[in-house]
Formats: sequence, structure tokens, C-alpha cells
Amino acid sequence: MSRLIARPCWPAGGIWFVAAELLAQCLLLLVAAYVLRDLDMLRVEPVAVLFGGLAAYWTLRALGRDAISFWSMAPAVSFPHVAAAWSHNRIEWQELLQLGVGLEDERSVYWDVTLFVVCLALLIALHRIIGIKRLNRKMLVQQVERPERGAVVRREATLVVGLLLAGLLATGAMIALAALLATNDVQLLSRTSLAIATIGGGAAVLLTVTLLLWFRGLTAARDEESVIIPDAIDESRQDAERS
Amino acid sequence: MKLQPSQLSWIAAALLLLVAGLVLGNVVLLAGAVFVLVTALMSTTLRPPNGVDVTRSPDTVTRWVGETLAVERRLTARAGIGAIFVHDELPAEAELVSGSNLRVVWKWPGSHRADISYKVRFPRRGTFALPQTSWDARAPFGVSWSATGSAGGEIQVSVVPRIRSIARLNALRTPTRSNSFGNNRSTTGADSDEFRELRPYQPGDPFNRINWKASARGTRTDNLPIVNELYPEAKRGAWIFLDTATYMDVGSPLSNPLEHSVEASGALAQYYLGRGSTVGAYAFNSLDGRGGLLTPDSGRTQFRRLVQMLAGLKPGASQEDLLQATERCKSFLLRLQPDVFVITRLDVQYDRPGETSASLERFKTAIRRLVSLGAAANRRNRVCVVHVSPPQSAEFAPGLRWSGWEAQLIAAEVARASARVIEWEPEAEEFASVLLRYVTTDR
Repeated sequence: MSRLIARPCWPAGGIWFVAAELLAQCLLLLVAAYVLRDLDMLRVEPVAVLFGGLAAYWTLRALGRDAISFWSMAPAVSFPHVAAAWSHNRIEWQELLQLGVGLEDERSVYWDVTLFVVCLALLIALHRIIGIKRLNRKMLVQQVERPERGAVVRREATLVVGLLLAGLLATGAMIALAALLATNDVQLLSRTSLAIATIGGGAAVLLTVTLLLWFRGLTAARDEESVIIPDAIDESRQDAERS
Repeated sequence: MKLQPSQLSWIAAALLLLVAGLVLGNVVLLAGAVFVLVTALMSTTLRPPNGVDVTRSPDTVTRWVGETLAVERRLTARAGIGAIFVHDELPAEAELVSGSNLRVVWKWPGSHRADISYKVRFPRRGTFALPQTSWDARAPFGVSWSATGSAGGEIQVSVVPRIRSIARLNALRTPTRSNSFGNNRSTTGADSDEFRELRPYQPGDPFNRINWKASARGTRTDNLPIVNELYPEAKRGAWIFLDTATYMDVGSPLSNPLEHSVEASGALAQYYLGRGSTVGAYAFNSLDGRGGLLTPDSGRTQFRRLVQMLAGLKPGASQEDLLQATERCKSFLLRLQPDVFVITRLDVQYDRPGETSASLERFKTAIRRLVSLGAAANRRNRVCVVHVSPPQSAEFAPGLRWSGWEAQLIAAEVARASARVIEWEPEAEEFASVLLRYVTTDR
């Protein structure tokens, strides 16, 4: 493309993008604050966490650091969930290393799994909102007509929703499968190692397949780059020259 | 295709969760790893649109200056999901009238076809190329793959100048011809059926030309028969010298001496070709430095050839003057004995008040040379210098307001060199009016 792409600046994506981005951030920060409060690790009100997080995030955004703002927010909002999950370790490293101070194993593993997965889903959604905003801005700068821009953005958003729903369903199915396989255990996911093996094995398989697809895609990409697609006019011209 | 780093970041995060979950035996972390990996796997599975093919309208088109060209493309993508950015690079001179040369098409799974069209206008004459359509396909989620390419073949657009109608001159043509019948005739060419005079027989004259009645009168002492002399078939031709140096290209793209010169050349050719004359032309100081030569010919085809030549003219450095151009075209001028038109700016020949300009001297020499080239046929060529006034606005070229009196001084000098000078102010009148005045007063 010959036209230049403008540097992102607030609020170039339009009010709907900003609203969606804010909503995702608020949910992420509030859920994280709630979990921290539940763990007695938060001494301020969740609203203060919310405003503090938003201020930090948008300050970085205003400085034009989209990637830094996102990737610094991601571990920050994930930390409370990891801390909450620490009590569900089946291999007792925390007792061995005396790291389990302040954590009790009375939390529901299902609830913690749900909150963590929702947190990850919101992070992925936020990441995609930023990506779609960037795409929209690029189209705006290139003077793509409004209906076309709207169509692309809507379809991207639809696919993201579909992706997240599919991810949630697949994760739920895998946890349900692990629970089914460990039917001998009364407290299915909290006590059996079979659940760990099932979900861990499934995740390992997923990782392998993903990486395989990556490398296959990379190889295909190299091959495709050397292919020039002839058009009908060229083909007919070549035919005429041959005859 | 290229790898987007953010996708790898998610895979790395999932790997971290997976390892931590396995090491700690933590279901929560493993569930998180599963979720991230499922989304990463799904977004990796989706390929960007590929197999993109573009077909376009004809590869060569001709348009008048200012006329719109509708570019129609059919885009076909065979596989993949995502947005396809389709872009036609337009020449700097082109103006987009409607539609867009950049479109974004969304493709779902399966073969997809989209018709894309836009209209473009070329305000300047010339030959332009619309290169291949380039496309940039992106997979959804913006993090996976992208593919780029180009297809569709190049379109060559030849934008030819609009030559204004000279209907008023056509109406005037008949009486003018009758008044100055002999002046319009060429000195060479095949004979017509029109009687010119009686003369003594010369070896080689066909016998059917012998006027038996006149010969029988026996008025000649040498007893040679008398033959009918006929007018030659072709009418007197015209030769146009067109100056295309950069000093002609001052003003706006649509209104500058060069564009007006092109218009004048077209009108002159239209007039002469319309009455059956032969027309040739030479454009000197063009961009490629070689000059554009139109060999003399007549008829509609010659007009089309001239228009094509005019379409491709681009201003170049002033490396060739009229004298050199005359020498280059000497053979044609000797053979054709035409009316010669030199279309230029006279004020550029003038350096400083009170000083003799070397370029003006050469210009006058060239005029005398052009006049004398008719001597071979015992006649003097008619040479007419058309001075195209530059735009008077100081916005275009400061100092051009002086060009008026400079041009008048030079016009007087050039007139002394046996040329007729026409000062044309395109902003004030059309060239057809100037030509009309020339035709009515010249005969």
C-alpha cells in the first residue's frame, strides 16, 4: 500500500471502540480487585484499583505505547488469579518452599478456574479490540469508505466473539472430560492427579498442534511468496504468442 | 506472508501456564493454558485469503483530456478468511472522480468474487500507466498471517488533447478558396483535372494533354504543340514547429503556453487537413531530447497521428533551437514547400533591454532560412510565428508581466525577417478566432 499509515492516537478508533476497551479494562480490574480482596491482599477499595489501573493504562496509551500498556496490564490483572490458584497446587511445592503463607485451600477450584479463564478471555478481547482499532484507523487513513470499514470491523468482532466462545466451550469440555475420567474421586478436580494429567496432556497436545501449524504455515508462506498469479489477460496473451 | 509477534506472545504465555500448571499440579493454570491454546490454535488455523486473481478492463485505452475513465475490476479469492485490501496505484496526474482505488473486501470461507469499479479523470494529456492491482490479504484476529501480491495486468492510458472545433473556419473555407485559388495549390504532387494555363510541349508530357485546337492555330514559330498545364492534385501543405521547452510549461496544468500550443497545433492541422492539404510537424525541446517528428501526410489518419504525438509531448530542457529544428526538417520542407507555423514564446528570446540576444539572432536566422527554403520552387515560403502569451498572473511566474512589451519588440524584429507574427493571448480569445483572422487577412 502506498499510502502512509498514521500513528495511533486517542480516540481515533471511534467512541464504540473506546467504550468497548474501557468496559473490558473495567471488568478485568474489578475482577482482579475482587480476587485480591477475597485473598485479604487488598487494603484499598476496588474502585481505587479500578481508577489507578485505568489511569496507568491510558497514560501509557496517550504516550503512544499501545503494546507496553497492554502487556504490562496483562500480568498485573493476572497476578491475583495466579495467587488465588496457588492454594490449588497438587504438588506441594508451596509447603516445601514455605510459600503458602496466607493462602488457604478452602477456595472453590471451579470458581477460581472460571475467574481465571474469564480474565484471560477479557485480555484476549482487549487485545483484539486494540487490534481492530488499529485496523480501523489504518482504513480510515487510507480513506476506505465507511460501509466497507464497518463491514470489516463488524466481521472481525463477530469472529472474535466466536473465537472466545469456542475457547470457553473447549476449555469447559476439557475440564468436564477430566472430571469424567476421574469419577472415582469424590472431589473431582481438587484431589485427583488424573485431572491434572488429562488437562495437562490435552494442553500439551494443543500446544504441539499449534506449533506444528505455525511451522507448516511458515513453510507454506515461503512457497507462496514466490508464486505470481497470472491474470486472464496475461494468459490469453501468452496463448496468442504460443499459437 | 509474515509472522506477527503478538500471536507468538500468546503462545509463549500459554506455554508458561502449561509448564507452571504441570510443575505445580495446578488445574487453574492448566485450564488457563488450555483456553489460550485453543484460541491460539483456532486463529492459527485460519489462513488469510489467497489465490487472489484480478481481471481488469482493456489494457490500452484512449481518452480525451478531462474525460473520465471507468476502471472495472473483478477480484476472485479462492481460499482463506479475512480482509483483502485491493489497491490500484494511480499516476500523480490522475484525479479520482468517483469510487475508490483502494477497497477492502471481506472474504468468508469458499470462493469469493467481488466487482470493484471507480472512475478516474486525467486533466493533462500524456501517456499514463495504471500498474497491476496490488492486494494485501489479512487473516482475521490480525495476529496470524498476511499475504500480498499483485495481479490484473497494466492499463496503458493515452490521454489525447481536445482540439476545439473550427466550424467558423470551415464556413469560411469556400469563399477563401475561390478568392485565392492559386495560393492554396501545392507546387508538387500529382495533377488534378483543373486547368491552369497553356504552355509549349515538353518531352515527357502525355499526349492526351495536347490542346489540339490551340496547337492548330500555329502561333508558335518552333511548331511545338501546345499542352494544357493542370493544377497539381494536392493543396499547399503546412508544417508546424512546436516549441516544447520548459519555459512553455508555466502556469496551471490546464492553462499554460504548452497546452495552448498543443491546442493551436491541433487547430492548424484540423484546418489544413480538412481542406485536403498535407501536414507535417516537429516538436523540439521535448523531454527525451530527440524531438517529435510527424512525417508529412494528409487525411484523417494524419490527424490521429498528430493527436497521438501531441498527447505524448512533455516539456524538456531548451537544448534545440528553431535553427537546428529547421535543419533537421529541411528535406521535408524542401519537398513540401509548405506554409510554416512556428508556435513558441517570443519573449524568451529576449535577454536584456538594449542588448543583442544571441538566441534572437539565431531565431531570425532560422526564419530567413525557412523563407528561403522555398527558393528551389521559385517562391518564398510563408512563415508565421505564433507567440503564445504566458499567463499574466504574477502567481505563476513573477516578472511575466514584462513579457508583453518584450514580445512586441521581438515581434517587430521577427517581422523584419519576413515572418508574420501572430500574438495570441489564450486567456482572451480562442485560437480558432486567431486562425480566422489569419486566414481572412492573409489571402
